[in-house]
Amino acid sequence: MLLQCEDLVVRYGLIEAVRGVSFAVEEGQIVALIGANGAGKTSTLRALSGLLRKAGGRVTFRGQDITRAPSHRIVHLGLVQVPEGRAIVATMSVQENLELGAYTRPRRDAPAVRAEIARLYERFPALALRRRVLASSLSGGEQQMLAIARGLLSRPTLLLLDEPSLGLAPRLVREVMRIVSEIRAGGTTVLLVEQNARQALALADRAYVLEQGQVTLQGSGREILADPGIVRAYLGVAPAAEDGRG
Amino acid sequence: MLQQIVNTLIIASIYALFALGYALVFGVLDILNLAHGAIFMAGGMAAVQAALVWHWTLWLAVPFGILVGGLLGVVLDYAAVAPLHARGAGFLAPLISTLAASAIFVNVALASFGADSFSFPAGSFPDTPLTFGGAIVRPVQILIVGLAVLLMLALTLMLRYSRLGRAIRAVAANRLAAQLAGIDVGRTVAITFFLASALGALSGILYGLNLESAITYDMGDTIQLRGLAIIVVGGMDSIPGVLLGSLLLAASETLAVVGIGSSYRDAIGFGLLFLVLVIRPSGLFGRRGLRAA
Amino acid sequence: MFEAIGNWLATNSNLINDTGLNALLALSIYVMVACGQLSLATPAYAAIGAYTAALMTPMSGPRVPFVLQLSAGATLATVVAALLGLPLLRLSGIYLNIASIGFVAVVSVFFLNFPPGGEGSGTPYIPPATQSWQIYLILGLACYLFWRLEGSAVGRSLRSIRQDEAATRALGIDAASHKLGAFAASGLIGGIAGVLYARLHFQITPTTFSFGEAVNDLTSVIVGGSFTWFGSLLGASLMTGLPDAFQFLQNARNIVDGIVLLLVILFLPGGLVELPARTLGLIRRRRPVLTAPAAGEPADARDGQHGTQAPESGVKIGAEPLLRIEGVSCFFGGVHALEGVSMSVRAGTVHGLIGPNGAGKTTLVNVLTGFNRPTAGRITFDGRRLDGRRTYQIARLGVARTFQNIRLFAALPAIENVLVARHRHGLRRSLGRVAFLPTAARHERREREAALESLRLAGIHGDAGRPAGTLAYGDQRRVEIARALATQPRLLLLDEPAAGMNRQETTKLGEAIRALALPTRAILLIEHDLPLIMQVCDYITVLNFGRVIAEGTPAEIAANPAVIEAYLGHEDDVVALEQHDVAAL
Repeated sequence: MLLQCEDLVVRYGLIEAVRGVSFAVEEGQIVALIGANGAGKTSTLRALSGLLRKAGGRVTFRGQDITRAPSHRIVHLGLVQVPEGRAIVATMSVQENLELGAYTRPRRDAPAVRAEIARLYERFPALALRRRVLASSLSGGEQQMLAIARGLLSRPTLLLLDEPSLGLAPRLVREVMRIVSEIRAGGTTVLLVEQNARQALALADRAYVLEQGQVTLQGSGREILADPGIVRAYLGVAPAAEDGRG
Repeated sequence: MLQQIVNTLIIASIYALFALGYALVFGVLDILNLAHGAIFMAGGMAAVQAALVWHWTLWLAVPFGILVGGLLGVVLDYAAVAPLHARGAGFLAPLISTLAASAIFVNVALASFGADSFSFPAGSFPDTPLTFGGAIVRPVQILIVGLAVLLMLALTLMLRYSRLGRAIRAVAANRLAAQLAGIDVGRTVAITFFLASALGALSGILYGLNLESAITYDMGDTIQLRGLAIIVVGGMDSIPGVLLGSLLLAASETLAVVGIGSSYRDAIGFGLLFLVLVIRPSGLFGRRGLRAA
Repeated sequence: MFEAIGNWLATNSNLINDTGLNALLALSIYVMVACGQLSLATPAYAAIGAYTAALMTPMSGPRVPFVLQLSAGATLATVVAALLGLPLLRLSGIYLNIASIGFVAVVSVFFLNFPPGGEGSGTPYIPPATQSWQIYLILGLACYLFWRLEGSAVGRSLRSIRQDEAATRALGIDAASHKLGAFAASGLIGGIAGVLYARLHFQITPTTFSFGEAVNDLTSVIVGGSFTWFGSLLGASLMTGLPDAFQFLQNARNIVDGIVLLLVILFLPGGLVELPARTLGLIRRRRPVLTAPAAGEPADARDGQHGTQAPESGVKIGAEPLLRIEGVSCFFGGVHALEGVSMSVRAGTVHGLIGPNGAGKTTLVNVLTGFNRPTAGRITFDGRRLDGRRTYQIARLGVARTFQNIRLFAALPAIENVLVARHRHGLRRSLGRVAFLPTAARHERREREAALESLRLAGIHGDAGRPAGTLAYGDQRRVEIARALATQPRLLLLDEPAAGMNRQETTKLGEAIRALALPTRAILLIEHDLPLIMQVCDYITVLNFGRVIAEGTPAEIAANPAVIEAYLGHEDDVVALEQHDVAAL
């Protein structure tokens, strides 16, 4: 068990965004958290990374209790998040953004880091072309690649991806999901939060459905994909077949 | 003429060291530390009191003053700034809380040391004036300019090349990104406050060394505005901006004293400030994030 | 008994006078804080008023009536404040604050070099003339005006400017003139306080009204409560009265001031005024509560309507386009955000705008609503040119929008959010409210009922009296749409309204949007949710890299190869678990 989350509670003032959520992530898996906005997915991830205070519950990572751990320590332990909205440093270049991802790596790792950056540039040629360019001038898709690459440089054992497909054209969403597959193939476990349920469920070994701050359904990706309630609520009917206009 | 240039450089050095404190804090937090003037005073007061009451030499008193200033900055962050940031208050709240802290610091000084003005004991620093090219310079003034240049250089190098510098620049540029990269943001901000306040305290000490009877409980008042003018002109969080802004302000003041009369000197800062705010609010260098160049 | 009171008043006359004056100075600061401008220029206004009074009190010769002095001092200070406000209007928070602090210093230096004012040594002796009753009469008048205006449209507008100035302008409110008015009011009150002070305290020097004074006044405002005029009164009374009552505080007075201010700003940001409510655990409710529908009741299908007629079946297309965009380009940040964009939107239609991230969709909406200036092209709406106009003017012409990231006035109740949008109908009524006219009260009641109704129709299940920021996400979106509709727009721009909604909610939203497309109204819908676009739109324009790459009916767009290539991709080509042969990253 790489990550275990038990009865997590997160509050914003008087509002309980997460009300007792429990789930587990095994090493080597892709686990998906799906649900609508306001269901508590992003709050859950932020709490996991120590960005939000947990009002209750327990989080164990690699056998260690990280419930009260500060965010920087959690990153050092190998739990890295690529946040919703990417959090790219707009005033720094692509290269500087990448190097930021290597902040937790010790100095002696410098040659390894350089090699990894080179490989990342190979994988993402669009970034290589814009090495010295300010990150703010990248397109949405390129920024997402940069955010993921930056996250990978921290050598994560578990990578949290918060809505990587948000705001991206469907063509790019495919690309991002392919990258997620590659990441898992490379040995990094992935916890994926998505509104794009179809994609996330197709990819996931295990999935949890969040509604109003609670887990209402869990199972393998395929099981949930086949659940008629889910199909109705999240996947809708293909647009061409619908005749419900007016 | 050369004397005017020398005077300008000396004044500009003190201003620059002080204004750097504003720039650093604004860079990482997007707030103005309105207690910075009080820390300027605290540094000078601590050093001079140590020298007068405990008879410490400058070698001890000056680092002491710097330390006191730096620690006050950390306390300020811990008590008045970080809690507000944690609960997501806007820009208004930290302005007010630092104002409040300033009032506390200044009035504690008033209560402790009265309204008198203090000077470092005569002979603390070699005092034989040097002349070159018709200008008279005291050794302490050479120290002031030298320190300013040295520290600005050191700060620039630190920001660009050191691990701490990378952390500070990251936090200044995007706090969330810094957090996600594993940077201890709270500690980085506290260290920044320490550095900023240490610089402010040092400028206060140097101010006291440069002028007779300069250290009083309210000595922070006039320099506060000048510091604000400098960073506004220089672009709020740019180090070269501070450099340029300080030179510009000091030069304008010197010229104004010669031209219009010394009683208008305090208004020069505002005049410049107003001009910049109306014409180019982003300052001469614009907001480019805490960059060393 | 009366004798005892009379005696107490006599012996404490200084305290009473100072309290009144400090209250006036605090109100001068309050009026600026109330609209989100931290201008600390009040001491400058007071100095101007004071010196005017001093100069109008000659040692010999005819006596100038006190009333004249008040008028002159107040007028001068008001004019100066307005002149100061003009360039400062477009400055944001911190810069405004710095500029105001500097202004105080400049005025001080001015009087330092002002021979008629006695320069450094200050004015000659000023015989006293101010009486307590005069101070309190003026204070009472000021409080009355604040009280009446606070609940009026003007007060609401100032509050919403404090919350989010841009969103306020997008509702058709001229924020600049409101702020300028606040500057003038601040100057007026400060100037009067200065005159009263001068005729009470015998002498004025250039350092009488300094930055320190501004800090004291700001402390009164914050400690008392910066969200209501009463807070300034309370704060000034406490700050002036308590040190007097407790002698030991006198010496440590300023330190205690600082500590109290720090504690308040940390733990009680709304000031002491909120202390009773907080300790009782109450949330203040001054407005009627919106009763929520029974649990489980689905949101009304007529989401978002506001006093509109039933939708007609089928689609009506107007003859002449309501909105015509011709060759619009927008270049900023080194990028051609928009390049030669042309399109038309007809009344009675829902027009979709789609495209990849960064294609320029939101930029186009910003250009339409005046948030960005186009570098080329023209925009015509209902026969009038839009490009070049300011945001609030465009809004008044009948263009309303919602924002991608919800921009509600989060601290204001939902009902106030909607009421602000009806501002233009309430300005005259504000003055009526000051005069306690019954028509004003009636009008206010009607406005409230209309606002509550529109919220109910929009399906808001939460409490309309609670701060809008505490509502559920979906409700917040609906409030934003209701607010935009309250301006009775002819063109409604919706920027990604379905963001964050699941399929069910999105479908309902789509029905509501279709219902909004009246014969006289057009909707421009930006969305990434393709099923919604297809469900709802009559016509679609596709942007990519700032250019229009396709337009047509939904069926045409879905079949357009350029669109498919750039944006749609192949819908069913999902990445599945079987792809083990993917290279490791």
